Amino acid sequence: MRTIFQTMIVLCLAAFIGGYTAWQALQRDQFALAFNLGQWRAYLPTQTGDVPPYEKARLALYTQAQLGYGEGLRFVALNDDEGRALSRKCRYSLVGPAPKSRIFSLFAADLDGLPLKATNSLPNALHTWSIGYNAQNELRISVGSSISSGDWLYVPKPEAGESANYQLVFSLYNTSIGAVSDATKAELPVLRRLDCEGEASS
Amino acid sequence: MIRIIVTMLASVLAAVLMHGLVILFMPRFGAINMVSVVELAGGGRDVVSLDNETSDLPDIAFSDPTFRHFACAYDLAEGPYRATAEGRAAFWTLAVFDQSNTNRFSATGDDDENTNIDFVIATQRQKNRLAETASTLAENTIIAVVPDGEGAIVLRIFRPDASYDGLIKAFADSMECTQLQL
Repeated sequence: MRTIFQTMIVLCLAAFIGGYTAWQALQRDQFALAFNLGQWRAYLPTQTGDVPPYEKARLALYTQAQLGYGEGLRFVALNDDEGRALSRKCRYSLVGPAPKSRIFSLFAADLDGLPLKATNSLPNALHTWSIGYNAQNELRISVGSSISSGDWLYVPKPEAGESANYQLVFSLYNTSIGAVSDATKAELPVLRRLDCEGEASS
Repeated sequence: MIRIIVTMLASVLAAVLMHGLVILFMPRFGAINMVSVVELAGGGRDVVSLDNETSDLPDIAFSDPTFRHFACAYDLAEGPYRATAEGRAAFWTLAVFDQSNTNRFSATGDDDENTNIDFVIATQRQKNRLAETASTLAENTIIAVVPDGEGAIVLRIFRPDASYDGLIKAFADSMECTQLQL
């Protein structure tokens, strides 16, 4: 009886600790094939060679429209240039160079990576052909829910009960910086917070 | 006391084993993969749109709103598959996802070059067999070697604005996924 009880404890602890640590490992993204570049995190394509077990498990857990080597590279920003989580209650400016690519796109997504949809015809996604460049051939994009002059990415305000946090997704298609060594040296635009609801403008 | 220590040690070892099993078996029993999304969209070997916002399709993370997505499923156990499409698209990408959602092959093309799509998805063995009967393929057909099993071929077509909808529809309507006989 005692041995059965002991075995049950071992199995319960194993199931809980093993399952919990595996789940946490996949949630935290720490084993993903990715690297940080300033405030951006780039997810590397996995199509060549053997995919590491943690990355394989992560991909199986979430249905993603992952880009392959032949398609391009995707960068994601969860924070502004001062490390504060992006909020749908704030306005940001995205300024800087866009690495060379055939097409790039920019859109806002929730923390699960699902694009935030606009309930109106406001611009909730931008791309190479829909924006202008300044004299230095740099991007200068306003990001937020309130209308702005120039290039503007609309990010809808959170509805009641919805998280205000989100991520910006910057995808480069047919880019020349597909190789890891080049990608880590890429210059990307900087996302700076301008102001937030209930705050004075900075 | 010894019994407690043994129980604790056994629990830790079993937890490590459980952790490994979850990670290793997740790809096999993972929630939803591209193949099941295509099947839920009413596809299979037929090409379907993955952008139908009125359907109950599972959400696909990082699905770019500046692109339209079309897909068909394949099963290499039945033989190699050929994906073709003709038309004019400002820019397109083609990706092959295996059953564990890993992007195994991808390519791009645009209006200036590589307008038409002509790819064969095959295992290495099937590719070797195809080489013996190459006459059935066009000269510029690209053969992509991917792991055996099921998967999905996903075509993403760039949509600069609504005026491109007609071209995108024509390009997507021309897409065909056909099984090749060896």
